[in-house]
Amino acid sequence: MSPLLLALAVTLVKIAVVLGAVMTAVAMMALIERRFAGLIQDRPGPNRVGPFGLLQPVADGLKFLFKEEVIPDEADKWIYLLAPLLAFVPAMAFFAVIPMGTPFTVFGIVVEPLIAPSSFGVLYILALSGLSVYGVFLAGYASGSKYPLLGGLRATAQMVAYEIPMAMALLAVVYAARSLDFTVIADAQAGTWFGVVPKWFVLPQIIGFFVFWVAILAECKRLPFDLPEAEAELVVGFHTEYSAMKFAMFFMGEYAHMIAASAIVTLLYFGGWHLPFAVPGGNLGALIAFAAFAAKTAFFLWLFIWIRWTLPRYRYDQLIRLGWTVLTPLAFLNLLITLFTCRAPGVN
Amino acid sequence: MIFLALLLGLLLFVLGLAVVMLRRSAILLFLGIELMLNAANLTFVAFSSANGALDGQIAVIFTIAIASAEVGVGLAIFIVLFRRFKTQSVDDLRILRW
Amino acid sequence: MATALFFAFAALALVFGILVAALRHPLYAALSLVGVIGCLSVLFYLLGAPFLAMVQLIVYAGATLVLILFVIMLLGLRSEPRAPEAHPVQKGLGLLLCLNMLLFFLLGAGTLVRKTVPMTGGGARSGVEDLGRLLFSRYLLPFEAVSLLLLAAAVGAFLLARREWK
Repeated sequence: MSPLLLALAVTLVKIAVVLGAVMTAVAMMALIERRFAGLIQDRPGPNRVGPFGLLQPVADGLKFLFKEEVIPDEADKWIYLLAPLLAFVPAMAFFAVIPMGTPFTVFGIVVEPLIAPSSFGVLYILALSGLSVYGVFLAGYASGSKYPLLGGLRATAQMVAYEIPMAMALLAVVYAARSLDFTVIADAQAGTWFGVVPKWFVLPQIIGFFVFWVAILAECKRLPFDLPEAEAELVVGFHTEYSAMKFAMFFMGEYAHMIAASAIVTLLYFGGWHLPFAVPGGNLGALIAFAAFAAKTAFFLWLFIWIRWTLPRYRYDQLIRLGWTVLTPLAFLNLLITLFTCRAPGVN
Repeated sequence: MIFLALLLGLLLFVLGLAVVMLRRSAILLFLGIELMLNAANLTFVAFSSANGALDGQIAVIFTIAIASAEVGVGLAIFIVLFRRFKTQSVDDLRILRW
Repeated sequence: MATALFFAFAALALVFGILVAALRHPLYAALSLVGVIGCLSVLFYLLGAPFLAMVQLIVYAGATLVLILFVIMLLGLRSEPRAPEAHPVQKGLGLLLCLNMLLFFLLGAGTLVRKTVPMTGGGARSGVEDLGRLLFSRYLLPFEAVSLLLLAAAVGAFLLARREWK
């Protein structure tokens, strides 16, 4: 087999594996979210389908497939059909540049757990999060109904406003790691201080991490910032008029976005797959690295759920004020601190 | 490839110019101007690639920054005018004429 | 492979560009412009400017066009029943100018470019680092000027669009 063909085959397999894994994780998240809500609110949660309700996502999926597809009369048909795709595709495309561990060997081929090695992965992530506005925006516009319109307007303003602190927090990490490449950023956090404290960026950049995390909550439209789909005011906001699989696309897109965001936080601030102690080399090491990465990502996914069922929703003016007058200055402060504490580039 | 890029840049620029010449809706004029700026950007990048010099790419960074500033102020003016005159046609805005 | 991709996206960009010119509904025209911008981003990448390809998506598609779309949605703009159109004389002159421009560049400047610019393509892929070095050395003054301009624009836009404006 020629090297080009082999590379193509390996990439295709990687895409299939990552897609499968993300879709499975999305299904599991849907279940875990509801079970955990039950735990917090002192009720059982969905526990009827299969052992511990484990087959609930399958039942939900079947239900989505067999529901009637409704297109409202007032809707702008083509844009209405395009919007769920535009919400789903960017969320999945995040995973192209997210490295998930160290290289391992299968049948004598060294495989990197990353679909597209890129020297500017951070910029790619920013571009995608800019583009993910379109799905929500067009859904709100095309539904031809007032609640989706309000939800779409809210979502657009919110996502554009919170992109600024997010990018500023990212910039500090990029400066500290001297790279836009996620693999290099994760590797810059290897090792420990004094043999025990891991050299994760969360410690010197605790402000940056806080800003980034809050901005991500807003970008993913999760509580306490889920104003675009606030049930009490807007029914469910921009996807009120969507049913069946088109609704499922928004749903899966939102969860895929959360998974990608958790993985990115892990890579940027929590050392990716690095642990504060030495791990064996070879395939075993790669397995441990992947397990560490998955565990950290799972922690942040759980944090999403925990926050959702703990904090009340913000008011819209409070949300915008928080973004512009608190998070943006804090992000700049974090950048300044990083500029002063990190070695200047070129001075080795 | 570079010649094709230059040709595309020219065609897009003329299309943008046509929008500005033929349409009278302020928001469509904006889109025409943005189209022309994008065409100019493409030409800059194509020449930069032909010469192997990065200066053209720097020019594009400035163009993008200035374009976003222009859109911000322009849209603010447009919102004010639209609220006042309830029209998006620039031909209807002639209170200074007589 | 790269050439085939280039042809495909150049053709797509042209189609979207024609749509921008042809469509009268502001929202559809703006969405076509997003298409142009996306295609140009791919072309930038293929021409050896990956950083610009990303900036194009982040700033143009992710912020500038979103702002225009936001205003279209906020004001509920549609193609007006009495479509705002130019006077026939204006229209004729405008078209003439466009054609003139097209022919001038195609014939006059085209030959000049073909004589002076090497069409082989340097193929030097620019890293973010090289761009940054150039931006903060030779182009530092324009850079500072643009940052001032952006600040002024932000303040100006805020002042203009306030609701209490009389």
